[in-house]
Amino acid sequence: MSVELAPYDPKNLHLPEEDLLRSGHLACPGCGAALGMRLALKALGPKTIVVIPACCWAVINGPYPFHALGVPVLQVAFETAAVSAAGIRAALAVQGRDDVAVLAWAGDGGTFDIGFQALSGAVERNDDIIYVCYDNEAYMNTGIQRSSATPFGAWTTTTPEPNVKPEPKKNIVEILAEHRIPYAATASIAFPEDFVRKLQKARSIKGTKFIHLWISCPAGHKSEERLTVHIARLAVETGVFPLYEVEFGTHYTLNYEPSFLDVQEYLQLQGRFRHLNEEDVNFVRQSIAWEWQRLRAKIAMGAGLPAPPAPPRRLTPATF
Amino acid sequence: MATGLRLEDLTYVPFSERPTTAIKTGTWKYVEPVYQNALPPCAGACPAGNDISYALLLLAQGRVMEAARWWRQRNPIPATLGRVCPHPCERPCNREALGGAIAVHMVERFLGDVEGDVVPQPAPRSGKKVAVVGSGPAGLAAAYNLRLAGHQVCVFDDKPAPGGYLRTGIPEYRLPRQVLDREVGLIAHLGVEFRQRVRVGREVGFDELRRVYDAVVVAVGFHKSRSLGIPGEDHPQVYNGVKLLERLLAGERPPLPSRMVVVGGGNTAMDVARSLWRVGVEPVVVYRRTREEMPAIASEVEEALAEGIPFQFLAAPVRVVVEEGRIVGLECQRMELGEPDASGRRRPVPVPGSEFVVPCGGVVTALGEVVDLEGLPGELAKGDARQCTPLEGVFLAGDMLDGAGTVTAAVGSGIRVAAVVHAYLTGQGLPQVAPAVQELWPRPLERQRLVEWGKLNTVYFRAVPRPPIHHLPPELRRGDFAEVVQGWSVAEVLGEARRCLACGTCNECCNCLYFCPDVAIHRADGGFSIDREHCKGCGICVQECPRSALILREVTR
Repeated sequence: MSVELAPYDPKNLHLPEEDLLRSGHLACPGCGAALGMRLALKALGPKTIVVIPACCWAVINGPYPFHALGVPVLQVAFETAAVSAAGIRAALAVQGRDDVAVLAWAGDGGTFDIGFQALSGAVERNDDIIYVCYDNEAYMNTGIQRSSATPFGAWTTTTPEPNVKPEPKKNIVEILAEHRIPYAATASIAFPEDFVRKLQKARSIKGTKFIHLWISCPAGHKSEERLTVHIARLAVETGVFPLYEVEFGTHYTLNYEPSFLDVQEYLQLQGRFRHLNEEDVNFVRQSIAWEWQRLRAKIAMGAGLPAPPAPPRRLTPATF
Repeated sequence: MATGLRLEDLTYVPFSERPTTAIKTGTWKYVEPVYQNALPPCAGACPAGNDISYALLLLAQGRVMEAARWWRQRNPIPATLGRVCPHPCERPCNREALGGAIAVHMVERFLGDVEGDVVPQPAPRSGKKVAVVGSGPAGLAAAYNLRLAGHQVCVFDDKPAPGGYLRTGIPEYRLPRQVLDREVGLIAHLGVEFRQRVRVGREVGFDELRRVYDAVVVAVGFHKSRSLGIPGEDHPQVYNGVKLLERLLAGERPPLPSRMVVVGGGNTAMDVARSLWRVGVEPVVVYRRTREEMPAIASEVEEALAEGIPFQFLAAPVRVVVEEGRIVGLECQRMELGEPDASGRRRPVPVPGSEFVVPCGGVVTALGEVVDLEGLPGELAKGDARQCTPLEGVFLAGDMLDGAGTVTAAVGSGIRVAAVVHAYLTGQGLPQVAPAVQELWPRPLERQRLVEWGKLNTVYFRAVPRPPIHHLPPELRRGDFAEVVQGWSVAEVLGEARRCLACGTCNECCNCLYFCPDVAIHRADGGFSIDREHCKGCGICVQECPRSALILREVTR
């Protein structure tokens, strides 16, 4: 019996099959950062050099003499991820190689706070690197201290109850967009195809690319290990973490229209938000609505702008 | 120092090159994921225990013959069941909220109609002989499964052709005869012997049967009709519904009054009314409760209404009105619904002084049937949980055991009794209770874990509408017994199989593979394997499995 029908494809996700992350790494069970790295290397492939500053991943990669990635890794000082990656790019240029992606892979502490000036400098020089900030919203590796990526109301060891963090999270993508970065995007481990596509797009662009990857952290968020992907999805679906990309710093594209579930669905699964009362949650709801108004206004503004003029010549750091 | 410095001289530069796979992070875990297929709601509700989700998975992959063979592993008459079953499997279907329940009956019907090598091979001959009394659905299922188990099976039946009530009581517009004939033929081809026109207790003694055969399965069903118990009932134009239906379905066209009242609200009443309508009689259905309480299959009632057959609800017959030897009407009394009775339905209570006459030339009774044990031992009146009777080596199946009243339940009962008889014949000892049909599946499955809606991860599912089912227009139905419900094309059936969520059955969607932060899940022959040396037991795979085909269990060391 023959039938004309599309081939059966039960897959929910279509991702590159090759894995460059190895088992046996030292991430906690249910670690979103490990999943993020797995997906990043699926997207970028073996011709990648990874630069890791002090962050969870400096530990996850394994103790000496072990190494969890099937690609070269340089572990560098806390504040130097972007500039070290730029240095590697320069060295590759000296060797005449332009087929290797240089990935700076830093946590939110090493991006929002400690590594920020180096990142800002690299973006200003338009160094040809991909910078991924895997954001678990606190210094998780050193014991859950607040960072400027920690959201309003979150418990950390340095913002203990009842003095939980009163400030909202820093908007890192907008800050980098204001640098006129060629490409900046947000991504989530719960949307792997979107993340992989963004990395592959980043690889195809010359200049500095920045991806803000939201990940859950069972240890620091006080959430169940099995819910890592589920919570990351809720962060998107509740509107807490929009998925969008920015080109030339001005052209915003929304990649996923969330269903705007009530944020309580997201908050209640994480012990770090357990103490929030109804008033606090209402503030979070209002903040989400306000941020979305801003984002939609930016999308509308970018849609009315032409692409910026291309410079007459571009000196890349490779021209020594 | 700075001159002539080479990288290889820098022996103090820490340089890691051994893969972390040497680190056995699997020792960290206290729970671990295990692939475990579980019971989908459809199969949990199927009285015949069809392994619906696995067959649909095979179909979705385009493996039509394998799916057809899978469906016939235990069930001998899928083409029949797909047409006549009230499909209780579709009621709890998790697809309901996402475009409508899977049309399992249409798929079953299609798979049943698949021609070719669809019947499994019987086991080697055991040398044991089994007699099955009754060739209805329970008898057919018992005979089929006992024959597949390697036993020699002979079916005794008093009618001219096998099928029991399927042949004498289900009209061709629901079940075309060539469909039934083919399925009976497949069973006969397997080596089951059919002895027709032999009534056990008349042509053959029951004790003789017990002497000659190692085991006897009795599945004679319900054929004796209840009577009305009202004046005028013995008039020749008051017909027994079951007997009249049998004559009509055998092709007889006796002279009948042009307008007849059918009394009853069950499937027989619907079949009688719709058959009478087809041979040119104007039937009126009289039922003492309302449509909600009717025991008939809801779709049969809908079809009867579509054909324009009038119903008198809340009316109970009190007298057949006879004038000059001819029936002129049926006097009825209005009823109203009172308190619920033992069946859970509200009891009809007569309204005094509300008598009225439904004009008619004849009356057909369809008030339900009971077992007829004429010529058979009284011990057969009741079976136990093992489907055994007090008589050694005599077993029961079908309506006479449980009175479940559907073909599907009878098939399930036949499948179960075959397992009990097989255990008896092979000296394994009788089980405490007859096994549930799902226990007899040829694939491992956790039967206690029912995959209800809450166990699914529904973010991976999108709503897809159920395709329409085409019915013969009512204006084309009168005058003959052409099949009303039209079958689906192979493309429609495969599309429907792909709509199935495969609750509790891994369809290799790869979510577990892609979401593992520890790269501890790998493709293995026909599925996935878990690298227990490195799995940390986070449970993301279990959580992100859309269909609950994985569980977390405690690690025992």
